[in-house]
Amino acid sequence: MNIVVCVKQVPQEIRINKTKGTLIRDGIKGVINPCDKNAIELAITLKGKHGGKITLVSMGPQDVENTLTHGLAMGADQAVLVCDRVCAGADTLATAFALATVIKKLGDVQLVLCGKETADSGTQHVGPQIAHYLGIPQITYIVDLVIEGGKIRAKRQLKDEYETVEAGLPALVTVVKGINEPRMPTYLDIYGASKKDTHKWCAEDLGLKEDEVGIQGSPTRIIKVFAPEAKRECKMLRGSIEEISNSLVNDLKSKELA
Amino acid sequence: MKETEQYRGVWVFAERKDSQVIKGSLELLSLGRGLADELQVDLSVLLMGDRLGNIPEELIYYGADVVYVAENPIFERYTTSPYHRILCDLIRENKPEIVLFSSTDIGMDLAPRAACELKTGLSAHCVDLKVDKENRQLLQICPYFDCMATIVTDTRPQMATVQPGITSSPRRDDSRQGKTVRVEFKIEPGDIKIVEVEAKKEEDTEKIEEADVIVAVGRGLKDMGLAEELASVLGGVLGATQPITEAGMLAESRMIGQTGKIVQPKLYIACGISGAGQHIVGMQNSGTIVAINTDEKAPIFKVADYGIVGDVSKVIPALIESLKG
Ligand SMILES: Cc1cc2nc3c(=O)[nH]c(=O)nc-3n(C[C@H](O)[C@H](O)[C@H](O)COP(=O)(O)OP(=O)(O)OC[C@H]3O[C@@H](n4cnc5c(N)ncnc54)[C@H](O)[C@@H]3O)c2cc1C
Ligand SMILES: Nc1ncnc2c1ncn2[C@@H]1O[C@H](COP(=O)(O)O)[C@@H](O)[C@H]1O
Repeated sequence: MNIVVCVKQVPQEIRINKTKGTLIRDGIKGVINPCDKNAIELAITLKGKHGGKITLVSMGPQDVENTLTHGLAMGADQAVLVCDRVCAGADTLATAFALATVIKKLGDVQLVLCGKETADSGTQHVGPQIAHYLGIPQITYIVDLVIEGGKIRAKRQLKDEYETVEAGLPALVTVVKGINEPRMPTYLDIYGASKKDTHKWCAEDLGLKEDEVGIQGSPTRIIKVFAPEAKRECKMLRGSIEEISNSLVNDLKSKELA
Repeated sequence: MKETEQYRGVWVFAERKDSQVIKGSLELLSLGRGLADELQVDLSVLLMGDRLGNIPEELIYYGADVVYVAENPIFERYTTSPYHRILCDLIRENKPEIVLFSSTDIGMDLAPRAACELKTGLSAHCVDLKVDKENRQLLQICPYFDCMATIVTDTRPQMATVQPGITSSPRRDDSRQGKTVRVEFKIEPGDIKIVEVEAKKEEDTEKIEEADVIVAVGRGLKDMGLAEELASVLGGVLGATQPITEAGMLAESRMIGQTGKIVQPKLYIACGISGAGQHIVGMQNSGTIVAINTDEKAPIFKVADYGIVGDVSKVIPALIESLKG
């Protein structure tokens, strides 16, 4: 059974340039998005039972290659990185389109795994949108998955319930963080990973037109980034700790809150 | 005529649980009504389910002009493909300019797939919606790291998922008039079969959303015992930010914010919490908010009534002292 895991690189630490309102990426290490690691671990378990090949698919800048090595060292067989300047600035629709195009090109894929959401943008859109482009069912928020007789049986984690569903293959599932313990690769694994293939494809390799990817292929635009405005008049309490706490407690008591 | 000008009207996708419209959907009616009035168009609601009884009329009392009703046993419980099919067909036929969803399990499963089929933009977890009347453009305001971002979509319809709890439900007015449209459809079997549903068993059953006082713990507080003592003196409960529940220091059911719960206690004390957008959306409507943080510039102070710049591990014992004294 051939499995694709969509893996995004996210900054290990999320910091904002307060004046520009943009994410600080310089000097911050890129890591695999947390729930994507759970997805890789799940893929390894499934491969152990059913055989086949695990391909990691990612879109992002050059240095994502290093992050993908971690996933290869965990046990994936190969990786594909879509890396092209025209793909920069993609929103979820353009991202999903590029990733779905890769999966189609790979061919013969029975299961696609995505994380539930990314730690940097966290939209939860990309999984369902890839599923739509591929024309296959989506099962979101899964915490457990077995394959029997060519069918998936998956347990979904919803707000107040767990829902178990069945679907045919191929299908796409999105994986909730923490459903398993992603393995830590050893030095030997990392050495082994350096011998596995990471294919770098540009837009042209995939037959993607400029207006289908990147900023041009993205229907959403950010027009402004701003610090949240003060919603309340904040009374800053000053003085010694005792003075501060007494005055706060007095106020709370007068409002019958304490 | 420009293509976008063919699109008129505001739509809301309504969710129900049993025979009740969920609170998040009522809030969408409130937001949608405001947008529709500003754009001078109708507010339509799509309602799907089985044995819907008088829910369509209720939706009119809560502000809908038109309610599209798709009723069939296969819609009893949500699965992606039958809902997706009806929604996309209706949107293509009626061409609304705005379509809103709640960012619930259902909304977050359905909206991205529909936006993809309709080749249009979708923003996630909006905390506010405004409209640029001249361009009939929906200004979609979402948390963006520790800032906010305004997102627009040039294609139509403009689609957004909205964080539940950011506004209040509209007033019910049973003299309001509206139209109910029964949707015609061909039933196609879904590609997913539900085989079992079980309620979550929570080990920690405290309902923090019902508490009057919440002492909320963030990464700045190392000693959970202190927070517990403060909560107990105030007769309140403990809440937390995501990093605290993820580290297993408190149960996930105590997480407050976009991923966690929306709370509105009378008193909310934020202990060592920075105030990320994803946290703030869960607590900003509390009665009185007190923030304790060593960093004077922490965004949490912008939503607080009282600010204390200081070390929580020293401030809390002093507060307990004053409360007891
Ligand atoms: C898709 C997505 C969804 C999310 N959903 C949620 C959600 O639902 N709820 C949620 O809470 N978060 C959520 N987050 C995470 C959120 O972005 C923040 O990372 C999180 O809220 C920060 O938690 P914090 O304030 O405890 O930690 P930090 O941001 O690390 O803040 C700690 C604060 O403590 C202060 N401090 C340090 N030492 C002391 C001291 N001794 N005394 C006093 N103050 C001190 C620091 O100045 C700092 O301001 C989400 C993130 C994403 C991407
Ligand atoms: N640039 C990307 N490359 C590969 N996978 C991605 C990318 N962006 C998102 N994904 C996948 O989609 C999931 C959800 O992402 P998001 O919609 O950003 O919350 C992630 O957990 C990944 O599995």
